[in-house]
Amino acid sequence: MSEYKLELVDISKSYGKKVIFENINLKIKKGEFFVILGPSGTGKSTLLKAITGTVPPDSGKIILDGNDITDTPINRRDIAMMFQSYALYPNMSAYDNIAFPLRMHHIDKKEIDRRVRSTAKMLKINDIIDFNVTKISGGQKQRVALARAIVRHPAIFLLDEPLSNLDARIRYTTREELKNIQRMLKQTFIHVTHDQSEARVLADRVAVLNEGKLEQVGTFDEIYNYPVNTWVGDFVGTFPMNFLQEARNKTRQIGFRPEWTRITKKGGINAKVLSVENISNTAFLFCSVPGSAKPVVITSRRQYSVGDKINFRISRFNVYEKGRLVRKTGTAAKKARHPLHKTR
Amino acid sequence: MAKKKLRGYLIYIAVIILSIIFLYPLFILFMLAFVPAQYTIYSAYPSLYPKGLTLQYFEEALKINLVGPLIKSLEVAFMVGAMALAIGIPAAYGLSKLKPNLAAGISTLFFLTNMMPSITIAIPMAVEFLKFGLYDTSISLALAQELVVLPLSIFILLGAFQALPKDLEAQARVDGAGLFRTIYMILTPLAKAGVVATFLIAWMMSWDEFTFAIFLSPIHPTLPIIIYENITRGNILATSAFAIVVTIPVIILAVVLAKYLRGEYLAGGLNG
Ligand SMILES: Nc1ncnc2c1ncn2[C@@H]1O[C@H](COP(=O)(O)OP(=O)(O)OP(=O)(O)O)[C@@H](O)[C@H]1O
Ligand SMILES: [Mg+2]
Repeated sequence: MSEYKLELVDISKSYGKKVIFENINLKIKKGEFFVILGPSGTGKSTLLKAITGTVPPDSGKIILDGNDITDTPINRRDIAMMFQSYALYPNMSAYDNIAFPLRMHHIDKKEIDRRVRSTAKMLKINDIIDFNVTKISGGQKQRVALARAIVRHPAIFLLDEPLSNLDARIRYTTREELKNIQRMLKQTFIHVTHDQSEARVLADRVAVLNEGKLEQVGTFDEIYNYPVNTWVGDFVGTFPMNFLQEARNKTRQIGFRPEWTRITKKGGINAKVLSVENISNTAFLFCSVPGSAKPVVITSRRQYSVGDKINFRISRFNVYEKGRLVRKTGTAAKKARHPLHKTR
Repeated sequence: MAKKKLRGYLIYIAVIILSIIFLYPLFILFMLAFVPAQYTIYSAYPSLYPKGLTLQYFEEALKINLVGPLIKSLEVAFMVGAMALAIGIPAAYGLSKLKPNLAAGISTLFFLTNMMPSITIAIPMAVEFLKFGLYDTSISLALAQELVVLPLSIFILLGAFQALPKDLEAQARVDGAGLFRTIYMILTPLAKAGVVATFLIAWMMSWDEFTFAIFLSPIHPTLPIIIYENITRGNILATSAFAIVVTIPVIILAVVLAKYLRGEYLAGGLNG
């Protein structure tokens, strides 16, 4: 038996001349909550469909539990998927939608009823379960679709943006539910999203996908702290990573998160506050820094107002050479002199 | 505002004109059947409204032996409708998997048989059916009519299947349904409007089909043959009344099936 639940080996897919993704290699561990994170239109949904076989990849292999399933008929793959479009059967009630996969797998009637009702209860759709799915709200549709996926006990669950259409409150509780379900079932989940807070909260590991390329795979913290390139640094995080050019070497940049800075009385880098955004107790200051076209974001416990002149030091940073990570610096880098050019 | 209203009226006027064009022949048929002949075909200037009413022709019409041909016609029409779906659905599903242009090309090719006059096909068919001992049976007539009905059936069903959201089929397959169950439990019910329209059109095409019927089933004829025979005997008025009787099953079927003909909630299960 393989130690991995799912392995994607060199899979590629194009529509005509348009390459959607190319040579994707990915190994997903047993019982892992794996999140695929990426901006819109980068092939996340297509990748999931490729795993199910509903959009067969042009080349490459898909290995589930050590078995090559690349040519296995879709309905024998033992994969549950929730589509981004929900794909509810409009001719059926919510109940029949959720029961459909169980019926297809010839499960005992009483057992079907028990499982459908308990799943519906968990996702708080038990009161609309007898309604036709065309008569329920968007958020309810999404939860019916989610219920239809998790009611099964397949080898792996694929969820394509399962929380995107829920309002904030339900999204948080459903997010927790999802994590609990996964812990309870001890099953492998692949969850696609463009929302990084989902990735941060849910994921054991995250893969960042951009234009059909896997940019980075790792825990959320790894990716957040050590983005392998400037694109990932820019994409991941509530605010993009700050990049500043080194004085001596034009191809080198240092990258640092807003919270890796410290405001000082004097010295360090001079900056001017352009705007302020408050998130809970922390103020995020967007500052203009000489020599940088983009504003730099730094955190502060004290309030500043627009136009204030401040000085800050960078206490921790990564070094990027031609956009790729070449050196990580940990928190111990306090003493390291920031390699910026002297401003002014 | 006023412009919008005007447009509304114009649409109604267009609908009325079209309805008149379609319903006028039917109106004439009713006139012939229920108005005494001296006001219709025997008058030099037939009036456009009924000057009198009579049930005489209707009584005569009911004397024509109706039961045998009616059963035969119904039998054949239902067979043709059923076969149109049984063959048409798998064919259309298969075609819907091809690129739309290619599918359109192939489904147009099917119409080739329709381009030949039915007689040129009917005669050799009659010979073959004689050999097989199927001559004058309902099934042989239904098979022959299917030849003309099927291309149109596939064409309509293809459109219906192509319009279905791709994710629904994918979802059914992922949920564990095989190809057969996906088609019959998910896709066909969703393409309901197209399926019903196909059945209705196939049924009606068979109901008033003439050429194959007269060549392949002359001994136990269908209703259109009876109408034809009576007209050639000069029995126009009673035949008009008879024709109305023949129209009734079509109207009933159309009314019963009409509510399925709307493609209302196709995308209802999808996002949004
Ligand atoms: N059937 C198709 N034919 C041609 N191009 C397609 C087809 N399906 C998807 N694409 C293209 O593939 C690309 C990736 O689409 P996909 O739906 O996988 O993106 P995504 O990452 O899931 O985006 P989103 O976050 O918006 O859901 C898009 O540019 C899309 O236009
Ligand atoms: Mg998507």
